[in-house]
Parts: sequence; structure tokens; C-alpha cells
Amino acid sequence: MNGRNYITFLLGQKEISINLEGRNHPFTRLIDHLRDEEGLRDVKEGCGVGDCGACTVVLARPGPEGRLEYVPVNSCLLLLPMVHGCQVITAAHLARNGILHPVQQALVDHHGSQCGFCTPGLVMSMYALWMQDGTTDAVRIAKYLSGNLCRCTGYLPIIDAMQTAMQSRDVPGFQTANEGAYSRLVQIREDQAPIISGHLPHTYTKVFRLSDALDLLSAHPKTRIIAGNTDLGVKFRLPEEPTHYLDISGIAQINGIRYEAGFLELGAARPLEKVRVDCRESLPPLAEMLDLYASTQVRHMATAGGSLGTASPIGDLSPVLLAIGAEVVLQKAGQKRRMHLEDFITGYRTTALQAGEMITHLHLPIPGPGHYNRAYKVSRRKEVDISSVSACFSLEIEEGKVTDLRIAYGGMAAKPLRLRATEELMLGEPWNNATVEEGMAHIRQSLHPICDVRGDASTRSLVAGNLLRRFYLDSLEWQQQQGPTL
Amino acid sequence: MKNRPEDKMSVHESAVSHVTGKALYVNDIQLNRMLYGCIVTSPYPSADILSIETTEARAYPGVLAVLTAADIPGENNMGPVVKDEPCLAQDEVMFRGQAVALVAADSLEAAREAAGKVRIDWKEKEAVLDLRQAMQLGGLLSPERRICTGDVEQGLASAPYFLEGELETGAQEHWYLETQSALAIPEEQHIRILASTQHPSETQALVAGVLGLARNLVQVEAPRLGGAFGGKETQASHVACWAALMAHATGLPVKVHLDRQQDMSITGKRHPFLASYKAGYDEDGRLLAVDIVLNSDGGAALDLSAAIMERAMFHVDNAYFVPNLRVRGRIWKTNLPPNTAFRGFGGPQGMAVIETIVDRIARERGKDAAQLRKLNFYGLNDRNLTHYGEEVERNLLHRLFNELMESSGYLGRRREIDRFNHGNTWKKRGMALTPVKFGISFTTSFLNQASALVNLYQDGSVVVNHGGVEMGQGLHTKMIAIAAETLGVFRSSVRISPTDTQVTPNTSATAASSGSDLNGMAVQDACIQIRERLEWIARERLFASLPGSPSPAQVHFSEGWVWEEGQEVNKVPLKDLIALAYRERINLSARGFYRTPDIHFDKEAGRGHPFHYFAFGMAVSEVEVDLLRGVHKVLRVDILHDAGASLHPAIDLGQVRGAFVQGMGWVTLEEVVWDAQGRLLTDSPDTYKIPTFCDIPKDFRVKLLEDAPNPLAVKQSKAVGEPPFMLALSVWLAIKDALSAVDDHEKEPPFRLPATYEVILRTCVALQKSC
Repeated sequence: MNGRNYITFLLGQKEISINLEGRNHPFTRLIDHLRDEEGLRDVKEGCGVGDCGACTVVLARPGPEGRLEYVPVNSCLLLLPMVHGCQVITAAHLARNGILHPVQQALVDHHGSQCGFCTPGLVMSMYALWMQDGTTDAVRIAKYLSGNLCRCTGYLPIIDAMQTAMQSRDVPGFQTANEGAYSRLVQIREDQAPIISGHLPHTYTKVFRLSDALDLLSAHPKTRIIAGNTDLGVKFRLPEEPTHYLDISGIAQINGIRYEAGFLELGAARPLEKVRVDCRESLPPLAEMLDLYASTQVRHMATAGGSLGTASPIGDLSPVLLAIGAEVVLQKAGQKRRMHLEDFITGYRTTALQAGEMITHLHLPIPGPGHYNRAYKVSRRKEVDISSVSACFSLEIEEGKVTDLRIAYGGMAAKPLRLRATEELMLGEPWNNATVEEGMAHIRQSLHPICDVRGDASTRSLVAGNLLRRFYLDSLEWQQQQGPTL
Repeated sequence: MKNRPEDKMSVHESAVSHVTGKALYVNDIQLNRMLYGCIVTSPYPSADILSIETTEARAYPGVLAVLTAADIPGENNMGPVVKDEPCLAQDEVMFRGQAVALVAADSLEAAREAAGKVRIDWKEKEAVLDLRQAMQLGGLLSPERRICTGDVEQGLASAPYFLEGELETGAQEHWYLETQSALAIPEEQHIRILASTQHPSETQALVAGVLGLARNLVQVEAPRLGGAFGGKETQASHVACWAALMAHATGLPVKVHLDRQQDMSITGKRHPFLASYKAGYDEDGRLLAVDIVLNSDGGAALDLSAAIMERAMFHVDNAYFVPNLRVRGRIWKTNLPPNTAFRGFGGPQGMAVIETIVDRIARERGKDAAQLRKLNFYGLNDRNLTHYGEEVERNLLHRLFNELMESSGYLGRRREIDRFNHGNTWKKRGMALTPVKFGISFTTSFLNQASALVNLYQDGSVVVNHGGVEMGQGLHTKMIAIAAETLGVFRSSVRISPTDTQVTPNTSATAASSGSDLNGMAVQDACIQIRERLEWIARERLFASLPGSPSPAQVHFSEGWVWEEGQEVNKVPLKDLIALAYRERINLSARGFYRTPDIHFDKEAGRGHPFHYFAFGMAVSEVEVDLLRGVHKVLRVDILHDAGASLHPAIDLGQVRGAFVQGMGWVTLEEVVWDAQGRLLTDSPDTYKIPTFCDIPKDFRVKLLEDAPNPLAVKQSKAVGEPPFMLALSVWLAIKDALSAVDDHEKEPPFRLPATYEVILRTCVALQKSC
């Protein structure tokens, strides 16, 4: 495959080209490059695993309608070549002619920094939100910023500061200062030749066309696919064995979403933050789960394909996708097939993916209007935490009896599960407390969850049953809203 | 000089540097030809070291030094109080993560790789990894301490009502955002250390000890810290000692910066406590006698555990008068990293016990818990002697209670909550009011001293150096305010230079909430000395020629001007006076000093006056618990806190909110878990969860008590760093109150701290089997 061995990006307003064959090998973390090579000491490392947000920088990338999208990301999880074709903005870039950016000034005025270590990262998340929209809703602000930990302030003054900064979105200069970057980035992105770099045993290739990805996979069937690097990037270490890495995040064909009658076709490399917004109306339980999925920074990089490809037993998307009967679209050179997710995940972190094959799309059926669907997640901390138990329920009732019920759980076994036996048991029964308690007992009997630091087996079992009751109670409210016919 | 608005309500002195990212921390400092240090640590909680083989590590490309205990030129110790903690383990290791060897290399990668090539032969030994197990085996780290008043046995025997129980409170990881860092730089004559330490003088002493140098050859500077919370009081010195040893051995600067996982794994935490208690009380719920045994998990070495246990023992009364009280404190040895200081310093663990007792009595007697607390508060004129014999003076508990009950609408909301609970089976609400009375002073009396250096330059600008460390708490901002006001200059004319043992020596740790009290007095003292010299010159040279009374009138200094009483129209620029003073050969620099008066404590007798004064606060918290998921929401919190005449209300409010949310983490979310091999399972933010933006109260109302000047501290202020942490017990007890509603408050819910979702679910199951 022909390609090039350099990347180009904007750092602030400065265009930077880096030859990856030099000492900046392709597996340098973005944070290390920024701090060590660019001298940007404002980018702080607080944890190195994408959980504290101190290293947050903003990536600006060309979006629809000729505008730039500003997304906050964890620079400790990103590999340097992943910013090709993007603009990297850090806290050091925000002030103009010695005047602080409104988010910076508001933080100062509201006493929003104490020790200051989390502050530059926080400033960047605030900046991204400020560029994105003008919300002053405290709950939305808190949600958006919850990937940035602060141990000093108790957060309240930062929320105040964000609200104040939103009042000055029309300060001349700051909204428009970066307009020139759009065309520069589009220009950088014109070249669709793959970026090929690194030396065996470890190579890195970033492709922009699906055909290039499939070619490479067919040449090197054991290639590791990365998109957001939010899973592999946690304590990133190159493995001992020779490995090819294939970055698919730049492939436009698998980055979109298509609305069809009765289903959605979702590109496997579409960032989950976009999916969260996309499916708010069409697939509320998926949006509901994504509201509690990782942090804003991680959702801007992580993808549905990555989440399913790792087949984690606690992956929060799986229960929702199992309950709605999602299928995965798999491709390899000369072959395309579709498979139910239930069959795709075969065991603890194993899938039916063949050598040289990749997930390109997800086929998501939209439940009919008579269905009530909810997703639940129980974790130690509500935001930015891995679930102990997650679940999704999809229910249809006619004349008080269960005509369709799908139940799926995560965190309760070696892989995410659809509970067909429990569904069977309840099908045709009246939707009432007695049936639900029978279902709860069945769930508790039939599942044998693991015991780990996020919850012991008995708690998980208890919660799993309780979630069915929670769904039942919520369904009663839904029924009331639906009127007396149900 | 212009009157700027920020001079009225100044922001944090580093705020602009923070938001622009210009603020540098130790790990941000890069030097040419600097080495990176890596620590080789024990993989076992208890083992003998049979041999250490470093040849392979030494031969690794880029490695300049591999050091073991045998290479320590001075004393192999970094125990701050008792010399029970070696700098590098020699024959045995006492906890997993204990340092055994050091590797210095020209890159971090090389140091890490080489560290993995240090071969150590171990003989594993039996380890004690749990407080209950340690108590059974009987290994104390220091002798039992006791404080006693009245006749407890008699009091318990004769009380009409009696209860007893146990309370477990969990460990807490500091989770300062900036992990432990130090940079050691060999200079021509001495060694200079930049360290993220709360206690530069102790870092200096310990480094001098391990290097075998006199202290005048070791200079420690603490630039700003990215948070500390007690975690950098003693254990920051470890990192500095390791960096110093490697710098000393190689003659080159060496930086040691722990990554998050290593920082969490090898440093100590807030002490887990197991308390047992007995209480006797009367029909109204008045406490008659209380007997408490506090057991703490000290870890493998003493560190500050004795002082922490002492403070816990001083605070088992919290705000309540108990005529007969006995508290015994036992610190147990385990094979875990030595536990250490953490905001509150034992206070939270002590208070959790008495708050549990009072909460239980209210339930037993069917009384409102807030009213029952008020009944037991220390009196204003009588019932005001603590169990260690110090009188509770200037008691603000009753005032706080009345104002907060009113402002929080407690009584009406209590009725609302009862209504809600009757109407809901699977969601319950709860509310609790808890007070805090926190003793201010280091309980080791001699530590209550501070000094400062103030330099006034000829242009009227000022540099202040004091012994306190800025770690986010706004200490420097407060010191600037004190210096500016005392000298009559603008705040923008005052700069604080980094804390430095060569400028201000023999300092105490910036800890115990004492930073502003002690250093503020020292800064003020230095400024007064300079001002008095200027006043003298002003009278002699400036005002003597003016018409008016020859008798010495008062001289005013303010915002860059100076004038004689009643002569403001003839005010003179302060700059002119300073220039004049310089020409008159007046010393424009002064060292200030402060020692807290009238504090003493007899540890043997358990009697004395350990605290200069008490800080008070009170909170009302309301929560909603989802019984099916075990999760809760904090609906509303009202705090009224006593900061005296606040030195800086914005900063003090920041301390109150920040401490409270950190306390909420301790009581609800944060759980430290070790496995059976002593491995920390919660060694990452992935598994150890501190509060996020979304965990703070939905409605969070924090106020400082007005019109409460404190005559005993600088500018009538009060210490504020730690006391509000303990107000978070109100959240914990509000959750318990909500759970208690499952059974209509009939049964005492089994409970522990933190009240994680698992604890809530288990409690719920215990109260109502079907739940």
C-alpha cells in the first residue's frame, strides 16, 4: 500500500508537520508530545488513564455546514498521529492580545481555581462547551464537565463561572478568532493517502478509505484496529509480539449515521457523543445509556464498533443493543455479512469476528411505538464510572398481558446476556407485581455474577432483580401517560 | 497607584496563571542534563530480602545509578516522629510498595525498564492486612492512650438507658491532582530540592539525615502544590529523599514524579478506624456517660498516627457535653503503607462515633435528632468543660443552631419528608443536622510557631516570605492582604516568594488549619516592625515641620499614602517616605515571629489546654435514596460556618465547599480496597471514585456566620481548612435517616462509612427482607 509517513496538524494557529520516522515514533502519546516537544507545560497529567481530565485539550475538526467542531479530548489517551488533520488547542492558546478568554476570566472572577492543577484542562472543556453552544443550564454544564475532576473547589464556583462566561459569547474576537482554521484543515485533509509509519515489530497505519482498511486487514489479518484509542490507550504499552495498528477513525464511510424506515444504520467509527445526540428521539434507551457512558472527552473519541469489538462483559452499550435486537455488519475483503449481536459476542472478551474482518456498521432496529424501552445502570458513582450492573428492557403489552418482552444485562456474567428464559416465563402473563416478582426471582436464580471491586456477587444479584422492579414501576407511569386503553 | 476593583475583593494570587496554564509545578520544571528517578518497590506486604542484584539494571543503556540501602551515606530513615521507616528497605520489607532500590537514568523509559531489571530474592512472611486481624494478634504501633473525665463505669451503670455498638469508618485516598514530585539539584556547595511538600523544614531535615549533611547544606523550596490535603505532610519527604540520594550519587539533577498508580499504591491514606462504644443517657436523651475505644490501622510504621489518634480522641465529644467520658486510643500495626495525615486529622473518625451515638439515641427515644443534639450541646455558661479539661469558650453552637434551623426551614421540611416517605415505597428521603466543634492548634504545642520575612523596596513594592506552603487554600492571597493592609500599600504591590528553608527556617508544616493563623501573625509582626520604623521617620522628618501639635499623633498608612491623624489633606506618597527612610539608613526589612500563647497539654494526665480556640460550623443535609438501586441524590445542603471575621470571604467559602464535597466523598463514595495479598485494588481513578461535578448537592447553600469576630487570631479571623470537612457527616446521617424510614424509624439500621450503594442495599435488605 502506498502512503506517506508524516502527519500535519495545527497547534493553535501554527501548522506542524511531523515525520513519524524520526524520534517521534507513532506511539507517542499526544500529552508527551505537547509537553516535551512543544513545551506546552499547561497540559497536565493527573492520572494517565483518561479519568481525571487534567490533560484535556480541544480538537477542532471540520464538521458539517462549513463549521469547525470543537471537542474536548484526553491527551493522555490519544496517540500523536491521531490528531492529523485537526487543530489542537490548549489553555495556553486561548488569551488574545493579553486578554483572557471569557471562560478564563470567569473562572478567575468566580474563584474557580484553588490549587490550579486541574484548571488548564477544565478551561479546555469549558472552552469546548462555550464554542459549541450557550447553555446556562447547571445540570447540563455539570454533566458536560464531569470528566474533569477537581479535588479543591467543590465545583460550584466553576459552574457559576461557566454560566457567566456564556453571557459573553458575543465578545468580539473570541468566537470568530479561529475561523481561518477551517479551510486550512480541509486542505490538510484533501490528501487521502494512508499514513504509514513505525517499524516492525510495531506499525501504525491510518487510512481514510474503507477499501484501504480491508486491504490492510487482508494482508495482515492480526491487525489491531483502533479508532478512539480510549480502551487501548489506558496505560498504553506496546505488546511484546509484533503488531500492526490500524487507525480507522478517519474513514468517512463508517463515520456516519443513516435513518431508514424502522432502523438506523450506524457507522462503527462514529464517536459515541454524536450517537448520543443522533438517537435521542429514535432510540431513547441508547441515548439514556450514553448519558451515563464515560466522560464527554471519552465519548468524543470512543466508538460503538470499539465498544462491541472488545466484547467487555460490562460494556454498557451491549444490553441496550441486545434488547433492541441489534445486528453488526462485518466486512472483510470480498465479503460482507450481518449477524445478531447475541451471536457475535461469544464469551468473555471473545467475538465471532474472523481473521481479517472488521465491524463496519451497526444495524439498529427501532422498537415499535407500542414498546416501552428503558436502560438502567448501577455504578458506585453515577457519572464517569464503569457499571456494576447495567440492563435494558423492552416491553409491549396488550390488554394487560405481556406480548413482547426483552431483557438484557451487562455485568452479570462473562458476557452481556439476553435473558430469554426469563422473558419466556413472563410472556403472556399479566403485567403486574406478581409476574414481576416471579421474574425477579428467576433472574436472581439463573444468573451467577462475578465478585470484584465494583460489587460483590450477592449485591449484583440483588440489583439485577431490583432493576426489573424499577422498570415495572417506571412502566406504570408510562402506562398512565398512554391512557386507559392499555 | 490606582484604586483597582480587585483590590477590594482580590482573587487568588495565582488565578490568572492557573487559567492560562502558566502556573508551574515541580514536574513542569525542566533542566538541561536532568535525570529521571524510578523507585523499585516491594511486591510483598511482608518479606525478608535475601539478596539484591543490580548488575543488569546498572548495565541498561542510559542508567547512571542504581542505589540500595547500602549506598545511603547518612542515616537510613525517613520516619518523621519515630525512626521506624527506612528510606530504602535493607533486610526486610513491611508493606507492599515499600521502596527497596532507586534507579536514575537519562530518560524515564530507561529508568522504568532498568527498575524492572533489579533482581531481588525474597522470602515471603506472614502478613497482617486487616485491622481486625491486627487487633486479634495484638501488635500495637505505640502504647494505648487514654483521656478520661468523671466516673464512666458508675455513669454507665446508673444511667436509665444504655446502648452499645461498633462503627467502622473507611480509609480515604487524598487524590491531590498533582502526584508526589521532587527535583533535587546538586549545587556548588549544597543540594537544592524543589519539592511538592507541605513541610519543607522536615523535608530538609530528612534529606540532610539520609545524605549525612548538616541542614545548612540542604535547601528546600516548595513552589505551589497541586493539592495536598495532608498527603504531602510527611510522605512528600520520601520522594525528596529518594531524589536527593540519586542526585547526590550522580552529581546531576534528578526528578522523581510518581505516576498515579504508584502514588496511590505506595502512599498512606486516611486511617480506617474501628470504634466500639457504650453510652448511658436519660429519658430526654441527655448523655450521661460515654465509653469509647478507638482502634486505628496505622499501617507498617508510625508516621503521624499518634497525633492523629490524639486528635480523634480530642474530638469524640464533638459539640456535646458528656459529664463522664472515657476514650482509649489504640494504633495497630498492619502490613499496609503507613497511614498518614488527611484533612481533619482523626477528627472525622472521632466525631463519626459520637454522631452515631446521638443519632441512635434520637431513634431510641423517638425524638427529632436535631433537637436532641441541641439538648446535648456544650452550654454557654455551664456544662462547658471538655473531657480533657479545656473550657469551651465563645461557644457559637447555639447561635448557629438557631440561625440554621430557621434559614434551612428544618421543621417544615421534616414534615414534608415524612409525607414523602409515607407516600413512597421504593424511594425514601432523609435529613440530618450535624454540628462541628474543631480545636485549632497543633496538639503538639511547640509546633505552634511561625516566622516570616518582609522586604520593603525603595519603590514601595514588597516581597513577603513566610513558612507556609500554598497548596490551593489561598494562604498566599491572605498573607498578601495582611501585608498590604498593615503596610498601607496596594495588594498588587505585594508578592509572595516561594516557600524556602533558606529564607524562612525551622518552620512547622502547613497543616492543622493553622497556616493563616500562624503565618499571618508572623507576617503582620514583620510588617508592624517596618511600619513603626517608618512612623518614626514620618514623625521626625515629615510631619515635624507641619503645623500642629508636637505630641506624637497617630500616623495612618493606606493604599500608598501616609498622613498624620487629622491631616489627611496633607497626605504624602508612601514612596517618598520610604525613599527618605532609606536615605536615613532605616532597615526596610524585618523578620516577624509568632508563638501561640497559653497552650499546653499533659499527655500523661490527659489534661490541659491544647487548643487556642474552637472553630464551629453546622450543616443540614437532605437526601433521596433509591432503595432498588442503592443510589442517592443529595437534594439540598445548608451550611452555616464560623470563620470569625473572615480574612477573605471568597476564599473561605471555597474552603468550606471544597472540604464539604471532599467529606461527602469520604462518607458516600470513596472506598479503598486491598486484596488478600496486600495489593491495592483501587489504585486508579477507574476504580477509586472521588466526587464529580454531578455529585454535589443539587441545592448547595453555604454561608459564613456574620458578626463573629475571633479575638484570638490574626485580624479576628478563624482557621477554616479542616472543620467543614466534618460537616459532611450530615449527608451520611441523612442517608441513614432515609433508610430508617423503610421501617418507619422503628429499627436501628446497620450502617457503616462510607455508605456506598452496596452498604445502602445491604442495610435495606436487613431492614426489610422483601426490599
